Amino acid sequence: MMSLASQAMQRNQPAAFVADEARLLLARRLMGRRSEFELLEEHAGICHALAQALRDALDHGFERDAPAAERLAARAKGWEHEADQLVMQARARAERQPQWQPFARLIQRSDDIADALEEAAFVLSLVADGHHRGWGGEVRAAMQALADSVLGAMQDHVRAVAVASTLGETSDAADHDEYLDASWRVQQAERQCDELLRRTRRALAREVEDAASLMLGNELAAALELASDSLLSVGYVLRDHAFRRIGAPG
Amino acid sequence: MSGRDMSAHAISPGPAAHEAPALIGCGETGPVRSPEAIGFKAHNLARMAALGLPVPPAFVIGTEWCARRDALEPSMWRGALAEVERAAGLRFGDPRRPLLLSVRSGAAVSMPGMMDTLLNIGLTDGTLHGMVRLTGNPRLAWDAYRRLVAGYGEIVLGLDGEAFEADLGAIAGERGERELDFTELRELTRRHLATVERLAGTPFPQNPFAQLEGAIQAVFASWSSEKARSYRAMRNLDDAMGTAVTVQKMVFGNAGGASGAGVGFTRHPSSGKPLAWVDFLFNAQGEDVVSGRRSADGHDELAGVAPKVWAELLDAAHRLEQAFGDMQDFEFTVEEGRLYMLQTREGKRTAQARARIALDLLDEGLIDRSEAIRRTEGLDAAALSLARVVSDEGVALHALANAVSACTGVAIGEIALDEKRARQRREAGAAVVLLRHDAETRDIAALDLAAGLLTARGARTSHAAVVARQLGKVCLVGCEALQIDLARRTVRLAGQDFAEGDLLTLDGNSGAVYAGAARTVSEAPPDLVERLAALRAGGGPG
Repeated sequence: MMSLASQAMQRNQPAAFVADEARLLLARRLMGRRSEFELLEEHAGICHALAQALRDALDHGFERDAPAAERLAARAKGWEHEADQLVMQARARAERQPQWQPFARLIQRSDDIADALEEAAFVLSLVADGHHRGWGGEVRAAMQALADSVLGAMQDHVRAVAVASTLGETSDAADHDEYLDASWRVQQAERQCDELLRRTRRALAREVEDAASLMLGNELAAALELASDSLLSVGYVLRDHAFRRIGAPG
Repeated sequence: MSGRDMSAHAISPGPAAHEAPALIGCGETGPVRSPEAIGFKAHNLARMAALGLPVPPAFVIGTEWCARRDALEPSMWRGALAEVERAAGLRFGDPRRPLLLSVRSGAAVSMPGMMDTLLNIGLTDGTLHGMVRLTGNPRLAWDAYRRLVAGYGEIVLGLDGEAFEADLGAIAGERGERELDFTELRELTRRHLATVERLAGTPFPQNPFAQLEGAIQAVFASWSSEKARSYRAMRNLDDAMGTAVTVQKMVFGNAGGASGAGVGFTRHPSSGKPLAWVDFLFNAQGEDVVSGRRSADGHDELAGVAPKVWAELLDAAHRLEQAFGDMQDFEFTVEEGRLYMLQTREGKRTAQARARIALDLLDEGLIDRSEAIRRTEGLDAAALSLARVVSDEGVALHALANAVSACTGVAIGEIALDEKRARQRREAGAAVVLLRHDAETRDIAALDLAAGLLTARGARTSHAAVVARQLGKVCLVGCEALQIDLARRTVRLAGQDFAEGDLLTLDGNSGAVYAGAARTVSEAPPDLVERLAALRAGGGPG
């Protein structure tokens, strides 16, 4: 800013012109902060698509529909690739602009969510490929509840990111409360997913006798639960960013 | 016993009450305003709310404003909007917690699909982020926005819907729109915004209140649309009645795989059998089912995936019949596993269904004998007769294609692809069957000339199918094997080419389509004829 002002003075430019230049510079700087969140919101949107597709697939019985599960796995692979591209974009920005580094780390960590969910979609396609023997009502219900809980946490993460992107000088107590509520629900969901993973494993042990079905069922549930772990972990890093934005570093 | 209960809901506040909007689902008390004042749709919505059924909050601008809509100032409905905001816990136009609204028509008589509906009013570039923040669902937000831009462009700005279908085709290709993710829906929205600006010469309105005003005016104006006027002329309905406008909080059937939209009848509208008859689409909004541009599924998947919602729906259907005293045609939305009732009205039905339903309701004690006699007036063996296709001895029937039957009976006629052709051939004394890509109510005049309708897309509960049933036309929808080439005036059915003028048989009993004129016989169900005779002779309860 000082350099801009001194150059303008040397060129005898009027003060109003310098003021406008300063405003634009600040606006660009602020837009840069918003674009960091735009990238994170984009990434969260992709993770949401993965979580929703998985929840819907389990609700609609894709474990008994091999072609549908195969299509989902291919779609999930595509979404994971898109998420990877965002991580690479963030890294490239961080190399050019060091202030992007903490954000790049946040997006990189967010990618663990996409990886876990893509893995779950892949395992579901294996389950659908004839390895759902013994999936009775209890296994199905527990698996659906787990996927539903992950989707709920994912939606709260999307909410938290959306609120965090608006935090700053103009945000108020209602915004702060909304952010904290959404973050808190992500934490609670992680605990709930722990419980649901155990419930699913109990149901698998009770209902499933076939080794491949047992292993794949367990891996599917574990991948879903891992997504909720990753959401929690990303939530903690996001919290630091959010608190910095409102001038209350954690 | 008509079953009409006029207690509570849709308030009539003090002075100048005739001009103030009525409220529904906002904690109001007082008598329900008459169908003449607020239209049957709003009247029945208020009655559903009074029954304790889940109805989103709404306000209603009365029918009296239809003729003088130019004098309607926003100040007239701002207070009512504030009441809906309070009930919903959201604010219209708010960048953080935006309330989205549907704007629907509703006259004192039922006119299925003849007037316009706008959904998702209130979404703008400025509120989109708030919608994501509120729902945590970016796909839902962008899906709602692209629907709004296309719907507003078509209905309020009068643009050709084909332009938006072309945008969709460019993004989706062969995939269905429900397969698009949020990035694709965002791209589609941007294309739609550009399409509006290019074709209308003005950008899509980014002021939510301007959107709402435009939507209210457009729905009032749809009372005078060509198809609405045709329908009223056909049914001898008074042009002076006017429509009311219902502005209601949106609920979202497009929120994912635990959501959806459906249309149902409490009994079978063709046979009258006492079984719920429901079409449902997961991850869709109501217009997808009734517009006739999409094919829908029956209720099996809903019952399997969401048994609790299905049980609630059956319970709601039963309560509606008990309260209204007749078979109902209802619309509903499921948002993330939660059921909302959006409309109910007496269901249009065939003559056979009219007889059976009246007799069954008498047996169930819901109506008395005199009412059953009134409802079955004019129904004799001839009226109850239904044609069915029979094979010539030793010759097996070979169906060209199969479709979903929306109305029973058999229609035999020359292929006609539009109203002009249908009119020419009818004037020449030929029977025609109308073949269209979509089951849309704008084809009502052509449908009236035809013996039957066959469409490539559409659901059996599409508005056009409802009207076909009411007009006594055979109606087959969702025929995937049908391809129409309007430029060449030909159709291809399961690999065979046909030209206008070729004969087809549409079998509404089985859903089959046959080349040429099939042999038919007509007969009335003997048990129904006997039951009617017993009713008129003084037998049966009541």
